[in-house]
Amino acid sequence: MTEVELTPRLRNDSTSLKFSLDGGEKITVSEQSEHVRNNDASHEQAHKLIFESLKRRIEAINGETCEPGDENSFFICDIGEVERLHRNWCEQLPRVQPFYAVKCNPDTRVLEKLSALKVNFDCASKAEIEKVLSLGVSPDRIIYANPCKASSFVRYAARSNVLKSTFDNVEELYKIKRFHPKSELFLRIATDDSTAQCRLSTKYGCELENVDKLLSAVKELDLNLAGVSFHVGSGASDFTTLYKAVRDARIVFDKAANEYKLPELKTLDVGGGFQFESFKESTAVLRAALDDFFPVETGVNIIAEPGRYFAATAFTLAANVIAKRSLKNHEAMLYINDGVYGNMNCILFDHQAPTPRTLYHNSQFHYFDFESSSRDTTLHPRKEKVSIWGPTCDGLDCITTEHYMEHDLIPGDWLYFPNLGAYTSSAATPFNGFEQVAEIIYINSLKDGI
Amino acid sequence: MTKDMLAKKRSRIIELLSTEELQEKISEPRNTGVAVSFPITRLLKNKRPEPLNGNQQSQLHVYCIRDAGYHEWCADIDRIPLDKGEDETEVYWDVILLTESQLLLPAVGGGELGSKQVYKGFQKHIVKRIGESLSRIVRQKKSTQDNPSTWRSLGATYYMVYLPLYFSDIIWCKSGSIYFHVFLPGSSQSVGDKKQSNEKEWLLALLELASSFDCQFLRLYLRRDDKNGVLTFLRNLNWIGGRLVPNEDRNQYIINSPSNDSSVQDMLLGDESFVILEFEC
Ligand SMILES: Cc1ncc(COP(=O)(O)O)c(C=O)c1O
Repeated sequence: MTEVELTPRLRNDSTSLKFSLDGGEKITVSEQSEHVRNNDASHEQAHKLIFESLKRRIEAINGETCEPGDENSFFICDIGEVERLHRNWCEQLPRVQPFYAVKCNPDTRVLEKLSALKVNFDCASKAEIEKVLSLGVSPDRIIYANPCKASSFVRYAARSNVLKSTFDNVEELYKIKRFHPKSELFLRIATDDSTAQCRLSTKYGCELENVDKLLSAVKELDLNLAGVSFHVGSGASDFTTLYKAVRDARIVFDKAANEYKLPELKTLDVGGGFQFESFKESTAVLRAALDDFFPVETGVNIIAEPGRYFAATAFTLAANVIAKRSLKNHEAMLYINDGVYGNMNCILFDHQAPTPRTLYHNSQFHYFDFESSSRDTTLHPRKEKVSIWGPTCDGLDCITTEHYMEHDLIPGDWLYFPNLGAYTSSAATPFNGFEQVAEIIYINSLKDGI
Repeated sequence: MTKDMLAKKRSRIIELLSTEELQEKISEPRNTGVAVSFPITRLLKNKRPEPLNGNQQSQLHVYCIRDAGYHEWCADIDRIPLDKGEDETEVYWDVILLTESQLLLPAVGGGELGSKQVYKGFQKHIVKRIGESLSRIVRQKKSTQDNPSTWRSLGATYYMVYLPLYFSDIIWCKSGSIYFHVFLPGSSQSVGDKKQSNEKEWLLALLELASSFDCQFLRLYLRRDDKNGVLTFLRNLNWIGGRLVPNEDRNQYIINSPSNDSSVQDMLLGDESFVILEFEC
């Protein structure tokens, strides 16, 4: 058995990041001040342009004299934001080739933009592969990362010439051997995702102590192991997990070469879970981990599967208040024309808690009143306590159980939800011929000015 | 009352299927599930169309690892393993009724509405509709039924699936065209919290079954009574590609229905007790 250095080297260099070893295992980024946060002025969203587009649309709708409830909710999608996010990615993670997680938002224009920016794609279903191929993307730019593969999925990947795919159990390897033996395989390891909002790793991924079984099956079946992958889960607040996962991947790389004499593994896939708000911190940890365990000299390619990072901040959703039930003074239930069965299934599927803000009330626009709502009554005492519901009269269709709003909204008013591009419209997207239900107004802040 | 009648039927079916042959299969460690399937054409006495393939027989399938190295559904024997003397046709009718009754509105099951007449009415209605489907099949006419993606459309094939590692109760399913509908038992029927932790395994078993019957989409009906279970399930399954399907708009359905006997019976059915998810298979 090869010795693998498990203790990360202490760093105190020009990157200004320090790791402190806490209890021998816990690694923390010690310099996390507000100024390194990503939501600084150098990356402002195109608020002016977003507002103008929202305003224009709502004025047009108001001019059409519809009854409340006749309007549809709609998105503003800033394609320029996608491009700026990509630039930011390249600055922070120049070594890492992103494979965008299509599931996160399969909007055609976003996919086309990403494809033009030479971003590759992570597909989790046949429909996603079909969609990406239909854009003229070559199958070698796709990784098939479905963690629950029926035989028919593997056959489909073979037919469509998609070679890269992840696996985490021996049965999958047998299916691959039978239906798609030329696959380039990524062994998915489990990570500790206890601090993530969306905990997936414990369900998917092979524990380190069980990796031997997989490596020996790869060897026995004479399959092509291309690398190791992991996904730390989305919304993690503690990036130690990321560091540890890279370290664990190194163990698997070494094991494959030294104990199983497999051909040298070529690629490390660091998964998704990156968030715009914490991108500086997470990428700093990732860079440090890569330098420690996969330095450039090793020649290992690094890829990632970011979803929300590229989609969340590019979309703003506007929804109309269609009904109101007053409960008592300053307390009401608001019903809006979108919900979990429409564009907000992220609430059910992805632990998201969208932020409602007043867009239009009392014949005035309030877009720039970023404090027009709060989840917390003590921090920002607000007048109107509301719960917000989708249009279906279904207990699950709840957008927020408690929010405090500046304005006393009434039917006909508009709310907007910023940063709502991740895991939102996917349910309404062409899964089996369903087309997008919401209207999307595309803007490009890089072309049209911020 | 209706609930009681159906519960009796369910127990009878389980009893009938508890043959030694089946018990033996279930107890083999490499077998992790069994399923019984039959096309509704098995209900035809004489005019059965020529069987084109195995899926037109009634079959016992076993989910097992054999030489392939992975779990697959193998059609084990081409008949339902009943003891001699049992009337197969009666079992088929009961399975159809039990599957369709998953969608009886909760109010119909007990209380005033749950009278014997309601049950009889429901039974008659299903028998009539199956009869119509069969005569269309015999006359090789195209179906004028509802869209096969909805639970309202009757199955061309019905299934009883038993995955004892994950659920202690039978899972009732039906398929028609490219859709495979699965009614999961309530949370109290899952085996400990295994249902949660092994959702990947049981979902895979169901996807494989659906695809072995050439279905392209699996619709999973999860009971809402276990709200937390449903929420956890949704969060964990997002990545597998589940799509949330909106429930039927019953008001709209009622408005669009002609007012006749049949539509009155249809009103007793509804999907509001379920959260519906759709998966590719
Ligand atoms: C395997 C895998 N890769 C990538 C992603 C994308 O995650 P995110 O959108 O958080 O970047 C997910 C999300 O669930 C995932 O499970």
